[in-house]
Amino acid sequence: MIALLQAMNWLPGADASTAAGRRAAGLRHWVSRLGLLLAAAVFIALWAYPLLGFLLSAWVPHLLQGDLRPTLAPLRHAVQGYELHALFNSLWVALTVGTLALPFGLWLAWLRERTDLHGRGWIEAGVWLLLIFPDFFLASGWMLLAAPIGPLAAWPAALHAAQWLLGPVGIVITLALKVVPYVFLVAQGSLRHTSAAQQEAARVHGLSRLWRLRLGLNALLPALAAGFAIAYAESLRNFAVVATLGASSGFTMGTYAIYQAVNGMPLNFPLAAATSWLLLGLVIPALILQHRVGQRASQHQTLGAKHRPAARVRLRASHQLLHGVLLIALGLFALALPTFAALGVAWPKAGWMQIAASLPPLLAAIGYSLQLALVAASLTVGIALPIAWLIARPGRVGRLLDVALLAMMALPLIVLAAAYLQAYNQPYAPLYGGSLLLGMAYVALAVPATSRVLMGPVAQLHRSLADAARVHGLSRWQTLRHIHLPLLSGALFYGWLLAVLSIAFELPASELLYPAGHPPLAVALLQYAGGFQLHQQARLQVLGMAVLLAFALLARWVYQRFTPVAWRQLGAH
Amino acid sequence: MTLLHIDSARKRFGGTTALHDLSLQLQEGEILCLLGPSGSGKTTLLRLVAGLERLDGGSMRLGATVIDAAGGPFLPPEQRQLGMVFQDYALWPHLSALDNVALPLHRLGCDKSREQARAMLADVGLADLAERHPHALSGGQQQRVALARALAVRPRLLLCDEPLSNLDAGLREELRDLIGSVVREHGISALYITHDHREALALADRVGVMAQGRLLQLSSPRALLRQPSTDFVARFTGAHGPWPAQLRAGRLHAPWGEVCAPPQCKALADGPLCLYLRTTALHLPHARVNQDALLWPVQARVLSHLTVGEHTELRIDLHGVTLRLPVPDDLAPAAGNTVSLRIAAEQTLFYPTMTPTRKTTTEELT
Repeated sequence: MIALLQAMNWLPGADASTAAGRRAAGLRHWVSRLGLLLAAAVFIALWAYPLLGFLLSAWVPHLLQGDLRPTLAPLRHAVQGYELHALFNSLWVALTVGTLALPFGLWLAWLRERTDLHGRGWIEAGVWLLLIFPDFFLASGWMLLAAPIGPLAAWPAALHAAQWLLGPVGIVITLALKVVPYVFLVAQGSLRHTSAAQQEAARVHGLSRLWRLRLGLNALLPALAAGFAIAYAESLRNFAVVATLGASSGFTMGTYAIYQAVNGMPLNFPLAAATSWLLLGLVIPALILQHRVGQRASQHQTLGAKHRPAARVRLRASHQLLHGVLLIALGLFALALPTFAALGVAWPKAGWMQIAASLPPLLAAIGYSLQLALVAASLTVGIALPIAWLIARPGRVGRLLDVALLAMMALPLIVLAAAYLQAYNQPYAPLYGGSLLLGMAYVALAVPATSRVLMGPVAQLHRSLADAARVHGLSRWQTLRHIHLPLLSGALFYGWLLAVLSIAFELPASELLYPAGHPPLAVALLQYAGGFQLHQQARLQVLGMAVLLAFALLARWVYQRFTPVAWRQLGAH
Repeated sequence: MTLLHIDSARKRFGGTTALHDLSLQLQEGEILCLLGPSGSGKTTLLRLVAGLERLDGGSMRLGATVIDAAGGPFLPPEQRQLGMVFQDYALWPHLSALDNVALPLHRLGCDKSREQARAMLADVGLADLAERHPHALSGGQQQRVALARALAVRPRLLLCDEPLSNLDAGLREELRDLIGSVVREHGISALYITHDHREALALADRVGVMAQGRLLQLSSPRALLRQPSTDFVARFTGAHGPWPAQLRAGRLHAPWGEVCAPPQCKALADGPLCLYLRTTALHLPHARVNQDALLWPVQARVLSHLTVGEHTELRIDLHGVTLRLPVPDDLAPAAGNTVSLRIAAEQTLFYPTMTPTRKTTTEELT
């Protein structure tokens, strides 16, 4: 860590020409060695040991017990029967979800960026809301909608139709809604950064409408391919939706097969590891495709200094109305319906006393999740910042870290959770069953995404900013205090808040690693759903959303209240 | 023969008027450069000619065809048979250089589109790079491809939207000469916009200077340099000044003393004037000058020396105006010294102290 801080110019150097300077340099050398050792220990404990131990157990089942005899039996087991069926389901669901999400995401991005639709700014707000809305809340909402005591109980035909949501159809719809924001964001970026000049050149040089459409689609192709790849990979990695909607209907997928292998009796870690390899085999090609397409797209950026955005299409009144109605319908279906379903079940005919009596276990689950999230998110930012810093700098270390980070983001979270369960349930590492292990897992899960969030702002901090501060007489501490901190404060705060929310809503690691008697929010929700305690499930969903939303608003208020105005303006960039 | 006829073109963007009833005519085979600062309306005019914007007032004809008339007929850009070179090249990034040039030809139903495209690329010196994609070409090479694409379709009119502004100085000069020679070789008319007066003067048969949506002057490069119609045109085409002067009974009271008024002052009434001059009107004492010329001796203070490429320039202060004067290296006085100069009075420019921005009539421009 010390070495990293020195790399970031935050720790002092020393004048080596004097004896005191030489002593200080020697001390600095040992401190940096110690820092490097600490960083290596963190890396090994959080990622290398559990993941390697787990994934290698597909070939060496008793590796962590010291038995190095290899076997292909787990892999053979994984490519037949239940696991193969689950992986096949994962594949077709992911392909269907990608295909469904693509036109929706493109439509939303086109409306937002290329039309004069009234209130188009709300599209972005809705997309971000959908992005942060936890997937199992969405799935839980569908479950409650289709429940016999749900809001559709008075309409038997509608209730009967809603049963379709409790299986593959519901899974596909929920996943498609969850991945539409990714397609939207990629397509939006492409539409926003494509100069109007290419289409104008096509018109001036006489190309027909069909040819111009072909050119436009070609320009969008990298974004469409990337959007599809992300949607496909996210669907394959998802655990929460299949654990809620799939478990109740007997429909299984790859991530759930891994979960069952390490959660049932007998525990079968080698089988789970083999299934993980096969799942990774499905995920990784999509991410490589996305990476390649991204590289190709960046090569296609041949624009000069002047960028003329494309003119917006003027929608006729009838088209404005049509698109507006479709957007409202989509918003109602995606966000309002599951929320109102939960609200309807949470407060049906129960009196306030009955509701108040049911609150303590709900508040305990939310409180436990929030406490752990606060600690884990703070540690996450502490680790993610130097990683982002190293990646932003040219060099082999940065490139290696970048690749490692991408690989971590490709990893289904259930794989990391299963790896922790195996690695820290050993006689020499008996951490299983405690909050420490769950906190470690949260940090390990959140660091890759948080590093990515911080990478942009950190990369924008040109080294010369700090150099200029030093040359003009600011000490290292003053440089940190007056230059780096103000410029990064916004990114650090929002990175931290995003980490808190994602950890508080996390399911896979929570499900496998939570301490007995202390179920976090997501686990409690699943337990209520499994036990058909639908009122409690609905109340927890509503209360969880309310508490975390209030927390996010409070945190934002505190940040805005106690930081200088200039910090917030700079940090917003 | 007139190819492009623009009559009282007017264009508004919201509450801003980008073009104020502008009229001009472009002849067959002519290169017409429109020169002006940012926001002068030159790009708007070009986009109107291209059909990428529509007129709010006035009309435009290309040959005998009305291509745009406010509230009347409008010919879409794809039917105007134009070529255009864009500031940011606007090459189609997924196509090779050859395909970029060949695609419009192919659309025209040309059987040998690829052969013709290859020949056009050879004309702009890119025969060896035909298979490369835009991202693998430098900025200058990309702009050559864009030029080849625009010329390959044998357009009735070539439009150039500040095509050199994204390139470095050396490349700009090279490509400017290439555009001039290729366009003239193919006998194509061109409407070329730029904010660089050197580029416009070097390339154009006629140059139009625009400001605030109005055409201030349209004339040959030589006439533009000799007789800028307003002090704005003088300044924008590189003249230095202003020096305050007073014309009184055939005598000119300039900051360097009372001198005999030059012939160009005869048309002016007595009173206060602004005086401008180009550095070509300044001569060192030993320089050979026409003996009949009216010369005003002046003293200037040398502020510093500048080495510009292979030349030396003096930064001098001439009665309150700082300007740069190219001099032979061995004759450059040291900074802080005073240098004696002579001003060729006939090359000086005079304007009334407040020159109103004037609308140029169609008759004057044609």
